[in-house]
Amino acid sequence: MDVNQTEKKIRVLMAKIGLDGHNRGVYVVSHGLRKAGFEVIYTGLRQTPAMVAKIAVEEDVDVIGISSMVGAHLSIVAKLKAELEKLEADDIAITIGGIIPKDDYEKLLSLGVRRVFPTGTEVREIATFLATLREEPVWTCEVPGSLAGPSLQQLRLQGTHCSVCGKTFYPKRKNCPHCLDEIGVAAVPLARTGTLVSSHISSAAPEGFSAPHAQGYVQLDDGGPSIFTLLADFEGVDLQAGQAMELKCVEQRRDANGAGIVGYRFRPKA
Amino acid sequence: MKETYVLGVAMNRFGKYQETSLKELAYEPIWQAIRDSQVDPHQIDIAFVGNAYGGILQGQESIRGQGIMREAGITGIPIINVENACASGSTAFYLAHRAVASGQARLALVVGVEKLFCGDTPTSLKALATSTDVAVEGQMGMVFSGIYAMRFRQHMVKYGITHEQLAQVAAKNHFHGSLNPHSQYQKARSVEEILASRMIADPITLLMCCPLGDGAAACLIGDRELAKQMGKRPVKVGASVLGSFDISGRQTLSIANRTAQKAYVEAGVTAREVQVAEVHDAVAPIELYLYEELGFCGPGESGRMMDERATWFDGRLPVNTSGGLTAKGHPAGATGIAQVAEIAWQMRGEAGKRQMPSLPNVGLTENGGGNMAGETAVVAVNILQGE
Repeated sequence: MDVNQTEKKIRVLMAKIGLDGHNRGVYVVSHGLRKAGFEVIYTGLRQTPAMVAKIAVEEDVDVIGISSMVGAHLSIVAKLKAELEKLEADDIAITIGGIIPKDDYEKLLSLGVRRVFPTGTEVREIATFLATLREEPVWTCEVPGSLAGPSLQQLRLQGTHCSVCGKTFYPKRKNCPHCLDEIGVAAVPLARTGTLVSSHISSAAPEGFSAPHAQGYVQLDDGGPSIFTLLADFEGVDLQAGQAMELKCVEQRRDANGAGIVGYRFRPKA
Repeated sequence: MKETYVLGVAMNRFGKYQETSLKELAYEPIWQAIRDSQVDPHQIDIAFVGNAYGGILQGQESIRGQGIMREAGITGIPIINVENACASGSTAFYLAHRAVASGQARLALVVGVEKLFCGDTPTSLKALATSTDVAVEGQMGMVFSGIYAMRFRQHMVKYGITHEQLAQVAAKNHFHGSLNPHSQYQKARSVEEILASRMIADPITLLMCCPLGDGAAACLIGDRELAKQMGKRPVKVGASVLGSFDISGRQTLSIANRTAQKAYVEAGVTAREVQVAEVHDAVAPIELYLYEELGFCGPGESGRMMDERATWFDGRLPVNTSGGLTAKGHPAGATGIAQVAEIAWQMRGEAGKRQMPSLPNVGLTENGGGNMAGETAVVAVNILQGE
């Protein structure tokens, strides 16, 4: 890996948010990343999420690295994410390091954190990950071309929008079946949330699927199309039409070369 | 377009014929239909052979029709292989009707045959599951019972249709099947028995589902003159319409509804004039939804039709007097032609114990196949008129 090969160096904002004065870790990581060829900016102690988001935008960074030692990581990340969205800057990646219980990893990832670096992580490992930030990962999907995004938790279904008639279609397509023209079509990411239209649960599943086997039609939010999908995490939920649903992507199986194949499900929204 | 007529019709008893090949299954119905038609078999101009799963289950690809016609001994004429999921037979019928109506042929043979039993049920189910876009819905483990359950659950909630009424449909069809010697299941079942059978996909229970089946059906389509020579009541093809799923966003009506509307216009009749119907009850409850989509009653009124027993063979609008797919069975490629056969038998007074009290003049068949983008992939509607 030679990060100096990139035209513009990757810019990292190291951030301490809230009442957390433990700054030894953030110094070590900042220093190490600078030595590894990154441009590093450090916010200093006791910043608000709004301040950090503002700095990130003004400094045009690729990634915000949060250091958290006092257990406030979940609320910090949620607030920072919201502030970034306000500034239309939620494409800026977030990573987090420090003292974080393993049980919270999944929650952090679903909040949009790209990677959690626990205590004991070597700086080299962080540098290796950050160097990949500008590469858009390519996913092998159960339904070819159906998903795109930087991480499993941030994948979105890919559809096609026609600017002539305003209709959105899934899966992705080359033309608009309403206009029968290619002129106005563009690929668009579809909403990660939607409403259950109808569903069923069978005790028996077809070969290759786990039982119970649940499927439904979900009307995606933001005027997205209605899609046929497998359902997940429905145990104990009385699935009725109108139930709010959200996308859940999973690595369903591996291909002959051991590469992961990802698929989409919808689950009742927490 | 010339007027076309259904001449002779035939089918074997649907069931499990593990040791019989597709060709052997088709032989008897083909020749019974020819004999019933009272025509010289040398006059057959063209043959359309419907089959859906013979490639995947029997390994006979690309010229299944030629193989079947070789066994029947009728060769040298154009033979068209027709594959259109569970509506393969109806699609063959549609094409044969068009061939005679356009003047391309005077006498056309329609054959539908299927063998779904292969000794291993998961393999058969896997074959059926290919009747969707395997790259999209297929990756979600699409199963037809589930698709039907979802369609019907919405409907039950919206209109307050009861589980009891769903079971009544299955009870009616099993009763009709018990009177039909061609039916795979010939045992009457009570509403209680149906509700108590194993749950497949709520609200659908086992005795509401059509079985896997093997079988064949055949008919001939000819011009008016041939129909008169036959010596039986002429049955005219008033309409034969084929529709497919629609993703254009222009359609507000369901595929069954819009295909039926076209058929009514083509035949010059209204839904209320239909006196007998055979519809695609792959699971019995969907019959109620179809009553509404085909215009036999208003939206949400189908449950009441069951309460009134309107669709029993002695009711005001008998539906699935053959036992339907639920009881008679559903060898996919044969189903559409078997539906036509039942209507022709009812019109000619040849329906035996299940014969309607008075001979119907207008009959309808509705046959669906496959699933794509949330709709049935293909729907065929035929309207037959007794003269």
